[in-house]
Amino acid sequence: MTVRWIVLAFLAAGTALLRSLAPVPGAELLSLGLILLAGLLAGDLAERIRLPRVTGYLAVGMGLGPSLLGIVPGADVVRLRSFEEIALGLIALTAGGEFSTRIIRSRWKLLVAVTGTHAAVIAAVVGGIVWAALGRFPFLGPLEPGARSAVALLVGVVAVAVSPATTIAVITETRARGDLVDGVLGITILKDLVLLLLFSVASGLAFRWTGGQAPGGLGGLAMHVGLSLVAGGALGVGLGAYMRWVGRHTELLVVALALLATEIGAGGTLEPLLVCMAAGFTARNLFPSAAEPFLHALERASPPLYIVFFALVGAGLPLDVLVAVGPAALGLAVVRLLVVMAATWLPAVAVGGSPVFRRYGWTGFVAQAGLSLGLAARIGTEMPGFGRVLSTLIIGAIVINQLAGPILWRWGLVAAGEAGTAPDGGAGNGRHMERR
Amino acid sequence: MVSGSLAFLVLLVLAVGAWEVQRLVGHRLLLLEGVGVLGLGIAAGGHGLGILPEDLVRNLHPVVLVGIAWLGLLYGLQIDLRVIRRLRPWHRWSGLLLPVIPAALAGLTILLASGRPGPAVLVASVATIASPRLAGLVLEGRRPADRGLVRLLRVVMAFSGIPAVILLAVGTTLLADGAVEGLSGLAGALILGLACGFALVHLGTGERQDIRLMILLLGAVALTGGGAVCTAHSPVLPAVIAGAVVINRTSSHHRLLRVAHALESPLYVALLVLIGASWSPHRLDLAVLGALTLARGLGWVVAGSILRRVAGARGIVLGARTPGLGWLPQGPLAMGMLLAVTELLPGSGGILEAGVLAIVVNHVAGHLWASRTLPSREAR
Repeated sequence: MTVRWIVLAFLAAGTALLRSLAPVPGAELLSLGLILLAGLLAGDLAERIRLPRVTGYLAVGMGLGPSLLGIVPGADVVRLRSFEEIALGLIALTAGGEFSTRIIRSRWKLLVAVTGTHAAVIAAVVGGIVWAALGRFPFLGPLEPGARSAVALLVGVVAVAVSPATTIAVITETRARGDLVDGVLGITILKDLVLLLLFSVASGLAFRWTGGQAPGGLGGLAMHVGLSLVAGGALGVGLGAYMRWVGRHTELLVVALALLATEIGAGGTLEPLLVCMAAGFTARNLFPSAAEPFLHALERASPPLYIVFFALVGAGLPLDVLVAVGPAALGLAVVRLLVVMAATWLPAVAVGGSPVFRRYGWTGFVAQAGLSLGLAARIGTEMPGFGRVLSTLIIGAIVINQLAGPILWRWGLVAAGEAGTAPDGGAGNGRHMERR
Repeated sequence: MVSGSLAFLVLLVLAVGAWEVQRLVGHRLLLLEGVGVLGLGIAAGGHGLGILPEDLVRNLHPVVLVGIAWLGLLYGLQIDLRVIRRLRPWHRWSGLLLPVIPAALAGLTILLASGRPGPAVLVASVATIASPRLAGLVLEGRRPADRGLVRLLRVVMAFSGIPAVILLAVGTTLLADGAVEGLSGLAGALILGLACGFALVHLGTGERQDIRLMILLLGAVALTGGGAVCTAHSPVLPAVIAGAVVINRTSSHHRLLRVAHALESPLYVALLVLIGASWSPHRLDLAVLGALTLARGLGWVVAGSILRRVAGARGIVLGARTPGLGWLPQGPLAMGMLLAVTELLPGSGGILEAGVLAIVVNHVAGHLWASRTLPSREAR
């Protein structure tokens, strides 16, 4: 193992040297190659010390990225964004594909109760605490009452968001299945839908309170979500039919579908993640015989993309921000964690959720990445005045959550006894449910 | 500005479509391997339907680099010294020296046309390569009637990549602004190949899962591709060196080769689509095409007659009168190197166009020769 790391260090040094020779187009491949090799090793190391492989990939990205060593420059992180988009699409397809109507039928009370509680309680409590504590954050400067409410509301809404990518990736790598996986997966998907709605309402209110120009209203959002689901459903029917009656080049097909969803979502009319989730869900549930090869194709195409995706997420995490707002961000992350624990346990008890879910369900809702970072960045660019400082604080908390989230989620799956119970070559409960 | 995702999506759809068309109707339309895919690329390109216009192709430059590097790595992974040592010495020398004859004639043709040694050597490097696939395709697994001839054809075909890669390195060095820049770039490319090769050896030791080997190979190929552009070289040289180092320093070379082969077809199809999309009929110079094809064909005919004499002197009688025509066909490595040469000579329009057509013409001619000259025992 040590020799491998020494070899990698030499490669990293060579890469840095080559980058300094000539900044030519195509040189981003150096970053890609180094990320793949280092990610594989870091994943192994993380596994050895009982951490999720995802944490290893994130650490590689942070180490090589612009915040620390700078061997993978910020420009390369942007140039390699296509890989991020493909990976996100594949992750969303997996989430939809693992989610069967049986899960909804058997657990709908739990899904609705926990999602609703998360949306209401996390946003309200975190927002409330932030509102009360705003006077103690000197770097935000003096705030008008309206601005103070807007800040609190937006921070509360961003605290609701989770990282579906991390949730799915840890389930896949631990080969987990069972009640905990079913519950967390279902709620994660549902939360993604609810979050879009919440953010739209919250940003509308926040803009009104701060005198800014509010974006499109609820009607527009409903259209956005509805069209995304319809488009995803249509793609899912096509995907399922292809898998059932043709069934060739399946890995390439799922990658193409992820790209297609990204492209049709690029105009802003559709939400790529929702399109992919709906496509995976439709394909899996309308064409049950195609589910197995479809999910296997996703698994075969995923590993290199997971490495690149999480390493790029790590490289994109602004660690300097964490240093600047460390204590406040840590406080925000701890508050969120405690509220997530309570907001998961209470509704689970109320609707008679399984004991493992009551005990470990919260571990699946800690990680935050892409969507949360996107929302935080939007706050930074779109909110007048204090937006930048606020987004810095939120990003600091997201960095902490993203580092702790996969570790806690893996621990939860292992402690619940669900890790390693999926059949070889499969993960998640989708196929398991099919066999029952 | 077209996004990278869109470019990648269009390429993916076209490549899968081309693959399927070739598989379903290729035999009926008498399309040889890859020619149908090229045709679809031309039809989809900026000079055809415009589905894959130039700006989209430009966005796919990293895919081109990875594809070229992958083909180079795959060739390097077949330079197994254990196998080469088991060959007779005259087989080895024939394999290394005979391909130089068509290279010299093709290079001379370009030198006379352009007056520049760099481009001439680069084009010669592409002309050197003969595809080891054809005999296998024609025989389709049956026992050849003239096994001695097929064996010799395959030896020369397998070796032809080595002088080709050396010529490519020399040509690229000649293109540099000065001797120091050229030699330092060459040294950089050599070190890059060695470093990636030895890194793969160490990182891949004990690996048993195909997906992990695939990630390692992808990582190494991306490094060679990205590193090569920084040294102003094509990715072929470092990738071939890396592959050769890996195959001769690990015990799990069969597994690595299998994994590398698994990605060869999709990448080759993608490259063919891109080559087709970049191909412009307006830049085609028929005189250059004719001269190149004739020079290379003549070179191989001469090389074949030399081999016939050398074999005869050792008591081996070759049935075919012109065995050199068996070396006309060119496969994926030649296409990859042609693309690499085109990248190295951005201002010289027409090389890609003439080179692609020459490869197709050679492919057809070689196929005809092989189907007439290499009947199997069962067929007779």
